[in-house]
Amino acid sequence: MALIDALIGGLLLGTLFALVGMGLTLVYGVLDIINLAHTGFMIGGAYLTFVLVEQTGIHMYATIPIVFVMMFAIGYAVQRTVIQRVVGERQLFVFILTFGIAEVFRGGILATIGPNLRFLEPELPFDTVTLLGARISAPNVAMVIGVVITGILTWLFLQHTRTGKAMRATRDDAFAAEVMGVDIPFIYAITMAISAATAGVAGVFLISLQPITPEAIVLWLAYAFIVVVVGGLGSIPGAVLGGLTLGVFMRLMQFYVGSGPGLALAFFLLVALLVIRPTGIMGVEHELRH
Amino acid sequence: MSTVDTVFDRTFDWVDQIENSNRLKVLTIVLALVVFSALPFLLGGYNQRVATYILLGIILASAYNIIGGLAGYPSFGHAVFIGMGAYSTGILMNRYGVPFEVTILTGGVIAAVFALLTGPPMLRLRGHYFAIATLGLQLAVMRAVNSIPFLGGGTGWPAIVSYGQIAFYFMFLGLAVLTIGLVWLIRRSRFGYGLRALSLNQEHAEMVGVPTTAYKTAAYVVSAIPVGMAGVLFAGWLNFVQIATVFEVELSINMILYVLLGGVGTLVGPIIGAITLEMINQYLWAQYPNLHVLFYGVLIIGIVLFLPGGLAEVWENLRDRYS
Repeated sequence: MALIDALIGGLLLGTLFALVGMGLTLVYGVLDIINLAHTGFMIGGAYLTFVLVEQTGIHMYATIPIVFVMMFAIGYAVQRTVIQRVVGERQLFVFILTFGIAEVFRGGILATIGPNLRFLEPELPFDTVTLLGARISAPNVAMVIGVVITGILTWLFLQHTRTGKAMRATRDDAFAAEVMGVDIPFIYAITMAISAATAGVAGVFLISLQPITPEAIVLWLAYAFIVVVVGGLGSIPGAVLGGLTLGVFMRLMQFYVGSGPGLALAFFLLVALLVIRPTGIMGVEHELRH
Repeated sequence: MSTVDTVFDRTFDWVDQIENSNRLKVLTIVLALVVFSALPFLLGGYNQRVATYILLGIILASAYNIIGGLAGYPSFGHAVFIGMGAYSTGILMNRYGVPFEVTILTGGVIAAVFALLTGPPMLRLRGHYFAIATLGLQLAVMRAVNSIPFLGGGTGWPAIVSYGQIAFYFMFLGLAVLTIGLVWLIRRSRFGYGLRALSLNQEHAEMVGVPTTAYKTAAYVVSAIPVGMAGVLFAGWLNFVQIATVFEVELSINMILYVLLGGVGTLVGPIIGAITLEMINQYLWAQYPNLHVLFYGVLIIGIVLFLPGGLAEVWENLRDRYS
């Protein structure tokens, strides 16, 4: 009974991991950078919802479109004004710069809202749902629905819109895309914007599941690394697989050995996986595109 | 200076002048030693602490320079060795009654052994993968220490040492001098030239006979030792060991920034970088306790966007303007 709880709960939590990893892997695929600021957008979104709900009293899920638009705009602006200037430069610069952006998010939250735990309990008309004998709490149900919708909409955007196709073309061969008339800096900025916006939405659901502090930026960045490395850097289906794997792993660890040692083990496995099979368990040979 | 350095990055022209003249070299070293030895007696309590932080920065910068600068493997998790050194002191002092002085040595040994075990597999990775792996390893060790009560867990350890502020200042100074001396020796040796060759092009270095795997691993191990020992001193100086102070990601990032700011791979550059950045850091901490993380982030962005050539570039621009 408890095992099935852990498995189902892990798959549900895994969807949130997958959404966060999807944004990171999308930016890696198109811009060829690892964006350490990614979870800054996520936790920034979480705190934005917190402030909006505290100040105006609206339902927390009603803030999702606001968070999406705000993070979209911030992601676009940050890419255009800051990150674009180091794209194609040494990877070290990109790493350091995006870490600096993450620190601005963390420092901004610390300065305005403070280091204490924050949590929002969503008001929902139902209590728990039972699936295959596992009881799922209402915020978890809402989270999965929201995350899956966000993920599918992003996927549809990538597959069927002109901009989405240009993004994929840039990912496959930036030079050829440019020759075909694609405005590369614009595509980069849109990619960063979508990545930031989806991360912000993930943040909204995170703060409805557990209390968070600004330090969640570093922790979730580490989760996101695991997700994209398991699935293979640059692969969106890989991020989904990686997210679900991590979710189930974390819940099983919590069930058997406790979440602290589980987390340590997850990070050791990340390093081991990088060493043994850097292209991820699906073996996407992303580097070949160069 | 060798040509490799100029290929690499800028360096200060006055450093070149000093290095080319034996008399100037001796004079500079003597002067630096005199100034740093006199400093704690001239400064008040708070500024003594700042000066000690600067020495810690110099040790970390110079040690980090071996793997991140000379060998060209910018680790993003080098603070793992600070944490290991500090926690090894806590464990050895509190569980086994080992004297603090001995743990300074064991801290270095533990860092070296851990680097020797983890280095070879990780140094096969390059670019993004090496960066993620090193950061991942730091977080893994941090979480492991945090969740295993035997190692101290989240509460950490007291590290009560009877030395005063000035004694610790001179311990840090001694380690800094040793570390700088080590980098000086390495840069002049066959090993150092091999590292610079492999940092430029690993395949070419291999072809001309540089044993790349052995050299990379040796660089990683050698650069871990002073960091581990600095971790021990840091723990004793603060009188306690805690996850949040010794395993912080910011410590790892600081090491990269020192080197970037001062000049990658050079001897003096990282020292200047560490002095500058630590002075700014300590000022921000003291003046803006609520905003220092925010300002630190802005500072990082500013360094990458406006000073990608480091302080040497600023120096060149200033000199060209006023001469």
